[in-house]
Amino acid sequence: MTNHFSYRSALSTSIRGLLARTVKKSKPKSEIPGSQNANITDTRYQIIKRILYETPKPELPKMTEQDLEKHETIDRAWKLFLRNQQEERENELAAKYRMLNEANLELEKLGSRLFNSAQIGNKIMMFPRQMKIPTETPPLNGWNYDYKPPSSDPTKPLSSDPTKPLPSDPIKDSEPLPSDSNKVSS
Amino acid sequence: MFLQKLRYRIFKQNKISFFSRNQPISQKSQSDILNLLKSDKNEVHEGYRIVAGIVLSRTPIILRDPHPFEREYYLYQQRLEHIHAPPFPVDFYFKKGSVAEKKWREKKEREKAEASLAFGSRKTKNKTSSEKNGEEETIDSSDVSSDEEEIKIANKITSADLTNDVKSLDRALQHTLYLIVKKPRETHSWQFPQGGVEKTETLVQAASRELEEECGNCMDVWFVGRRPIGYYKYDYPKCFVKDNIEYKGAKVFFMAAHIFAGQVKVDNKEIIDFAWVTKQEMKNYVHTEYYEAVKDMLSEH
Repeated sequence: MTNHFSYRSALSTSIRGLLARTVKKSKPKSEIPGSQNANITDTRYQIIKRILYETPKPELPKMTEQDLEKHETIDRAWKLFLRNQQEERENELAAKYRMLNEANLELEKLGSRLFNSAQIGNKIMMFPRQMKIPTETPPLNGWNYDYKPPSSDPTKPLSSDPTKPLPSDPIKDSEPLPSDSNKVSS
Repeated sequence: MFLQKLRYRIFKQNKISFFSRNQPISQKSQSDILNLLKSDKNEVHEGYRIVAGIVLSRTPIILRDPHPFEREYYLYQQRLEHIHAPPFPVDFYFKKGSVAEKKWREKKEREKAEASLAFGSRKTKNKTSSEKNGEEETIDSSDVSSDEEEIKIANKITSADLTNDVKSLDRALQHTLYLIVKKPRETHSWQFPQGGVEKTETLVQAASRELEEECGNCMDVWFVGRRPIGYYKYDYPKCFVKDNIEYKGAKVFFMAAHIFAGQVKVDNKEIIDFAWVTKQEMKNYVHTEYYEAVKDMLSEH
């Protein structure tokens, strides 16, 4: 059974490109904007000129005294609202930092092994692809409860869908521990 | 001669004779050996057991609802802009006589009609013109033409919100949820998952291991760096002694982690129940002393 739609795909892409180029579809010179033979009577030029040069300059709104008072009150209330929000955020961060600092100072007191291993960072900081910022509305499928950890056998495929992003490890060790003398052989 | 006898006597006392070697070691000495092995395993400092705790959080999935004042202010600003804006150049954006231009003009007619209606009741105008993607599930049918596909939008308030299912991770989508687990005891039962740090481990490794032991491995978890985010020291009640070793109490170092998929599986040995709660709800589960020590690590939203 001959397929009527197959004649197109019988040609390779290179041959098709060649054919397309031989059949030129160029615009007439009068239509190309900016060329010397351009048609000046084209209405689009008038529209563009009007928008560029003749749009009215935005002026300050003319408000009565009462209106202005209202506007200024609203403005002050808004600024206060933003200031309060900012303060709340700052206080939360300050409290978190205080806890972090205290924890690390206490850890230092315990001795060098745990503290030193805690202070290492990765040379190349990588965040998991699954870490997403909040959106306007939630995903249609909701939370994925059917997560399975990857199998330890590297020859087996990780999951039924190989295009899924790999689960993240608890931080890859990019640098060795600085004091190997404290390390107890397991 | 006398010295030789003395040496022989000492030698006999110290050496285990051939016949007694195969006899079982007494119960008391057996437990002593086990204790030695266990104390070698756990990290201890000044009689306090070093423990790694896990603050596992599910970050907010959707944006917060705007405050009513925010909403009103943005509306006010929008109205001011509309009043003082230059006229919209329809002929620039839409080709004369095209389908898009026709649709645009129809839309403007509809909006004018709505605005004239709204002069009677101000409240309805706010809802129709500004809130396009609020709590409504489907888009207005008049906006969607027969050619375009209807976009499905999920509800911001899920069924888990309505039923108050604390085990669900679809609840409170605008807030951060934290995992707390219940231990099989009467007082101080609810807390963050935690467990002892061994002598060959770092804090993160201990935290990751304990989380897997207590809450199962069916969760996609990522630990945020190697530093602890909080510290809590508490004394054990006098009657409590773990693994036959006397500890005064514990020093817990909390590690931050995020969950991206999966759910907790209770092991029913150390943990009998779990819940995903916001910072405000945690007060109802956790002991007040623990909450006061721990609340500064957590996010309000």
